[in-house]
Amino acid sequence: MIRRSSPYSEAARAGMNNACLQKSLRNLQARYGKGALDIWRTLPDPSLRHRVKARRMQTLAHLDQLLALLAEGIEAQGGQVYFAATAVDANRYVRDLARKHAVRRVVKGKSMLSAEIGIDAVLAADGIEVIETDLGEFIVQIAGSSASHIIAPCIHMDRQQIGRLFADRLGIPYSEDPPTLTRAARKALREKMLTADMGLTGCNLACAETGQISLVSNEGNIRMATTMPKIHVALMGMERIAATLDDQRQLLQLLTRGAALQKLSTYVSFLGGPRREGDPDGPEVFHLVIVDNGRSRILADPEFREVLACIRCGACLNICPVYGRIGGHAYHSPYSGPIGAVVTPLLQGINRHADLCKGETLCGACSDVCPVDNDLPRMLAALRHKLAYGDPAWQVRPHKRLEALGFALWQRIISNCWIYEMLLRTVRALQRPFVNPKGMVGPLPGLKGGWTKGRDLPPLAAASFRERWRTTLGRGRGQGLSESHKEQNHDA
Amino acid sequence: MTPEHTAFLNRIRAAVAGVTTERLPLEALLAPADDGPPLAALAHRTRNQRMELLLQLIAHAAPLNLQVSTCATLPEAAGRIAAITLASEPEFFGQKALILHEHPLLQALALDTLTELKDIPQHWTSPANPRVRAQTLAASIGVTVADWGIAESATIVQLTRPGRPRSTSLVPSIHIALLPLSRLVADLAEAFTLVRRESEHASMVLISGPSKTADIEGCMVLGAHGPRAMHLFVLTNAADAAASGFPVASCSQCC
Repeated sequence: MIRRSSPYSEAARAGMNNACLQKSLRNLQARYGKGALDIWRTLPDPSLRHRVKARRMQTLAHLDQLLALLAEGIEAQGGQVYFAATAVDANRYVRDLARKHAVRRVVKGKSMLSAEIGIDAVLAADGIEVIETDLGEFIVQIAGSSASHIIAPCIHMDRQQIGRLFADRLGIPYSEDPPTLTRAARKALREKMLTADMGLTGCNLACAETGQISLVSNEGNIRMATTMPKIHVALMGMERIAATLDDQRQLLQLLTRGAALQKLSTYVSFLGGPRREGDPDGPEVFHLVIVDNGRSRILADPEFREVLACIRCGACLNICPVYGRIGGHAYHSPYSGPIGAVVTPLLQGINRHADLCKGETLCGACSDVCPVDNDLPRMLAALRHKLAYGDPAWQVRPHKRLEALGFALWQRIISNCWIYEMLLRTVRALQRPFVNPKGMVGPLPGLKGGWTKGRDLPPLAAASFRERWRTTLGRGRGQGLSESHKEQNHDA
Repeated sequence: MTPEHTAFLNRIRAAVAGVTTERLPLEALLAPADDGPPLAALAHRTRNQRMELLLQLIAHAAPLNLQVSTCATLPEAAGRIAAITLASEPEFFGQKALILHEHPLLQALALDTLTELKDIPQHWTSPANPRVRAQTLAASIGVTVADWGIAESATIVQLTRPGRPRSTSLVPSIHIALLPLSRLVADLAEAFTLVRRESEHASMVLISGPSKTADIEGCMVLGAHGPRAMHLFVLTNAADAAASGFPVASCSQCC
């Protein structure tokens, strides 16, 4: 039987063999993952994360009312709101808007939602030039690659690769000096930003009370994209809303701390409409596109609603041992790492992304570091459960029938003492040729190859625990033990 | 609300109802935190306490490459701005130029009377000026006044208002901001307590230092898209600031 390895395994292997990525991931995790844990440990108010989470869940329970209020607020400020049920709806709306205003050039602020709905291709098909302005996103865009980290998109590229790319695409002399490369991008992108007809951004967190969305950035590209072009369109996942300004403040402070250990990012913009009378700048037209695209199904499921509390800081990527080895491309989604392993299957199909939840280790580091206390390991396990047994509500087919059959058989074997010990003796005899000089079982042929190709297994012990119990402890002492055990119970 | 929007919100309502049984009235959900205590704390803050906040601000600004200094008088601030202007190198165009928010405090600086700046164009972002965009793009230095400063995170808060556009603190290579000491608050919670009491504004921005990026191998570079340098001058003499007509929130006994 020939099994082709999955795209997940292939990309994971490529990530592990990419020395530059490995170095960057080590640096990233050593600094940011541990740093975020330290911040949470030393918070003056240790219950902050739990309180914010409770408030987040309460907000989700009133989501319809809060979104209606946000829309009213934006419209009162002269902005327009569109509720897009699907990616297709959102893309059509933005494309029609671009057509109506004869847009030729769009500058983007980093938005994972824009990648989720695939808007770049839709606009490009209309002959519109779409340019990423976040330096990392710009680099992966001109390299024809994709972001491999939520906050640090080009972490898989080193300065030599970027230097060659810029020499080739920006026509500058080759340099591997980050300040020189940054200045080249600054110059090239400034011209684009000042001449673009539309700025297209995401939305970090909207606020129902004030009717303003907020956007964070360190580079200032998002301020440029929301200030200089005539039209600003913001794409917002429908769950990214806070009820009050106070909620929004606490969430933003957790977001910037979780993402990059900053008390605040360099820029935090709050906006909710076009320029006003007397304002010399700001967009003339403002549209907020609120996107569902599968989120209401998550909202309706008590097991997974919690994942909508996520504020996309990326802290879980900075601590996950799996992401830390394989990098972001293996997830085949704008959302990588532990959060991606939960949210990507829920948004795009649990069977289609079956490898993601199975690849994670359930070690729990992601829930330790999560600023909103999301229990990602619980949800990963729930996804695995659906894959094992199928779930019609989520259109999940059992992932591997053969595996399920194997486990059913295993259940029968281990519930019968005689068969189990027979099997042990048989395997002990069979394993002998495969035990290597280090005393480990090396690569096995056939079906077991997948388990042993990347790691050695310890062989079955010469005697099992039950066998040793019988031979070394015997009946009499066994009796004694259980007597003393009884006494202890009486004492208790 | 279009039928599409109603359908969208109905779908969310149904999704919520499947899991949640109890809902609060919207007014209860939106009830703001009691701003009595922070307002009282702000009103009774002494000059010495504000000076302590200033030290915190300076300490937190250093790692952000935000250069904070204090000025006792407006002429001193004007002199410092002139010095920065003269020492600066224009980045995008051959010539240096200033673009200034139309703000009473900046008008009181009277930069146009300084002989050392007589060859350097200075423009105001007044609503009546039709060339603000072009002049902002051509400017090497933008000068603004912060609505508030935040000590905890070395941040300034700016509300967009007529004559005080967003691009002044964003497009020029150097951003210089002025902050009266009386407008320095402890943390973002205090600042937002004050923001809530302001009249409506089209937008607001929090700025904590110059623009930066670490996207290439985690190497920190200043000046990604916004200013590559930022200076904050804290005006310690409130009477001086007040004389310019800028409403300075302060306690009359201690400042």
